[in-house]
Amino acid sequence: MIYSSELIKGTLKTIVLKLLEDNGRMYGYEITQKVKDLTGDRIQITEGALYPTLHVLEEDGLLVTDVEYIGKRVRKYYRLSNEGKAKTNEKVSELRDFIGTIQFLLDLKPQNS
Amino acid sequence: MISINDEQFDFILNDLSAQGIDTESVRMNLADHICCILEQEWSNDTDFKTQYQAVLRRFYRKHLNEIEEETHHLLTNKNYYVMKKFMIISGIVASVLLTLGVTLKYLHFPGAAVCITLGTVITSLLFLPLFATLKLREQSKIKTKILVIIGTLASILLTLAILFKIQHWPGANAMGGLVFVIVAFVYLPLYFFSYFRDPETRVNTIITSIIIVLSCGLFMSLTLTPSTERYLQERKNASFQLTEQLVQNELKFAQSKQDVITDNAKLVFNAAEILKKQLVELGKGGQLLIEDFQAYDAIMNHKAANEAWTALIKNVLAYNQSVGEKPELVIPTTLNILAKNEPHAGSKAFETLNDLQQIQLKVLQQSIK
Repeated sequence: MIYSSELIKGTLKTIVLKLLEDNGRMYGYEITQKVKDLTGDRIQITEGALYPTLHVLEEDGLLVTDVEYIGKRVRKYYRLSNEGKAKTNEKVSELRDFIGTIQFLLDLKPQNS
Repeated sequence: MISINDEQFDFILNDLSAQGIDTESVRMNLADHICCILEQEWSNDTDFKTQYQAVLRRFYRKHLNEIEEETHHLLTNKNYYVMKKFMIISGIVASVLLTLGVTLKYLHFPGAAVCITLGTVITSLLFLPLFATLKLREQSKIKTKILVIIGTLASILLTLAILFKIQHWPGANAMGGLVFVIVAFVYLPLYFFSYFRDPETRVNTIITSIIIVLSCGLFMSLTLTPSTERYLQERKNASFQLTEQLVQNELKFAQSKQDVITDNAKLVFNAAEILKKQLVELGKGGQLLIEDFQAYDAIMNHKAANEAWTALIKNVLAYNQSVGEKPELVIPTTLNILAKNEPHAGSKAFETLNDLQQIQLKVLQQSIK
C-alpha cells in the first residue's frame, strides 16, 4: 500500500532531517530512492514535494549545501547544520509523540463506541 | 547505463525555465534529478525527448510550475507564522505597557508617560500594521482588502491622535477630525453598501453600521469644536489680562509706599515676573496669549525658565521665613506651582500663570498690612 501524499506532507520535513542525520550528506534523487528502499516502496516522496521542502529547510538555516559538478550538471548535496541537528531531535520526538497520540486515539475510539 | 551529455542537460534546463521553474536552486535540483532517473531508466529504444517528457510527467499533477508555487507557498507561510507571532507578542507588550502606564498614572508614580507613549506607539506602528497585513493575506476579495486598509489607517490615526492629545503635542485635533471623516464618509458607506445586499451579512452589517455611527457621534460629542476652543482661549486670555492689570495696579500702589515692601518680597515678585514672561514667551512667541501647553514640562525643558523657577522657590522660602510671625502673609507652597512633589502642580500654562499672579498679589498685600 502506498501512503497518500496528504499523510506524507506533514511529516516530510522530519523524514528529510532524520535521513540526513543518519546518512550525513545526500542529494535529492538519493533521498527519494533511500525512502523508497527503506519503506519497501510504501512511501514515495514526490519531487514536487521534496524540492520545495529542501529549499525551505535551507532558507531556514537547518540545512547547508555542498555543490559538485558533473560536467555542466550541478549536484547539490544537503547536510544538517548545527541548528538543523538540534531541530531534528525536536521534530523526531514531536512526530513520535504525535504517532503515540494518534495510536491512542484510534485504539480508544472503538472502545468508546 | 546511458550518460546525459551537456547538450541534453542544457535542453532540460531551458525546458524547466520555460515551464516556470524560476528558482535557480530548485531548477538545478530538478535537472539533476531528471538526469539521474533518465540514466537509470532510459533505454536506446526511445529517443531522449520522448523519454524526458515521460519522466517529467511524473513530477506534477497539472503543470510543472506547481513545484515553484509550492516553494513560494512554503516560504510565504513561514513568514506568515513569524508575523503572526510578532503580532501577538507586540499586542501583549502594548497591552501590558498601557495597563501599567494607566496604573502608574493613577498612583502618581513616575514612568506613566513613558509606558503610555511606548504602548500606544507599539499599538499603532507595529500591532495594527501587522494585523492588517495578515488580514490582507487571508482575504481574497478586493473590496474587503480596501476596507481592511482604510479601517487600519483610521485605527492607527485614532491611537496616534489619542497619544498626541495626552502628550499635548500639536495636531491631535486635526488627526481626530481626519479619523471622523475617514470613518463616517469613506469606511462606513463602503462597508454598508458592500455587505448590505448580501442576505447572509445584512443584519450584521446594519448592527455594525449603527455601532460605527454611535461611536462617531460619541467621539464628536467629546471633541470641542474649533469655535469653542477659540472662545475658551479668549476667555483665558481675558482673565489673565484682567489679573495682570490688578497686579500692575497693586505694584504701583506698593511702589508709592516703598519703605513697607521688604527685599524678600521684591525678590519673590521679580522671580515670579521673570517666570511669567518666560512662560508667555514659550507659549506664543512673546505675545500675551495663553497656549494650552504643559507648563511644568516647558519649565523643565527650558534653561532660563528652570532657573527662574528655582529662584522663585528659593525666594518664597526665604520670604515665608521672614514673615513667619504673620501667618496671613505666608505664601502657600502646596496645591500650586511651588509644590515640587505634586506632579500636576504646573500642568497647564493658564493655571501656572494664575498661580504666579496670585503669588505676586500675595507679596504686594504686605504693603497694605
